[in-house]
Amino acid sequence: MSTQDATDQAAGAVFSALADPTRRHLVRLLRERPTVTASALTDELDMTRQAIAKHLAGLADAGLVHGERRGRETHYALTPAPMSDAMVWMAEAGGRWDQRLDRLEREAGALRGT
Amino acid sequence: MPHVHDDHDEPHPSMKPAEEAVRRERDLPCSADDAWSLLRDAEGLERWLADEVDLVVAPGEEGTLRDGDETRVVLVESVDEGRRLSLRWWSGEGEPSVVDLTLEPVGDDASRLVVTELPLRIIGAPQAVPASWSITDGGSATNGLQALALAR
Repeated sequence: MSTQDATDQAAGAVFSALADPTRRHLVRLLRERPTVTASALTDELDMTRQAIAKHLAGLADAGLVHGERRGRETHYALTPAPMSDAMVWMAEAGGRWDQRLDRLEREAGALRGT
Repeated sequence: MPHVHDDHDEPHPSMKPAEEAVRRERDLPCSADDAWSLLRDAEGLERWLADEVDLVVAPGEEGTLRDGDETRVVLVESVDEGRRLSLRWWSGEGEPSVVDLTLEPVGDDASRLVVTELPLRIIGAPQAVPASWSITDGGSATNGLQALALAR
């Protein structure tokens, strides 16, 4: 794999991870806090611990956060080289457009059938 | 693979080449004329852009888009019938931005939509959003539209 391919793949993972509104919210929380745990966020987000843990794991897979096991909990923090504000904006905006354009493509296909 | 950091073939007139632009291209399985029906009015936009669209698609018109629990104030900057729609919008947090939607034909029964989005501050509008402005505050939609208009 070329360096450019690897960069594109990494960028694609980031866009994909941030296409989900819950994950975008988690990134925003992590920019305000040193670490979070899935258990600590269950009340705040009104979601199950398992669902939050899954989202945090998705962010970790994209390289946006890293987790450190302490006892029974994994504490997540933004990666040591966090994205700049511009990168966060681009990733969020890009992820939203990917979702909108998926819907547009489906609607365009439906138009052709009418 | 999505890509950003791209030079634009036909950038928004006020856009300067910038690293911070988001650009997407999507091939659509219908003619450009049919695809325009999904951009030309609130009913069409509601099918894909947002859950609720309260906007008259005409230059200078102001309105709102609601998508999930997020509401955006939006200003129609320009309309090139059948081809291009330019908007400015802001969700109440983050960056207010300018959005260009450009349709181009790709054969008889296919078309391509090119989307660019760029933060307003990149085009020299740092005053676009007061720091204290919140879209969830009472009367903020009007304030938001005034702020977007300031950047015109």
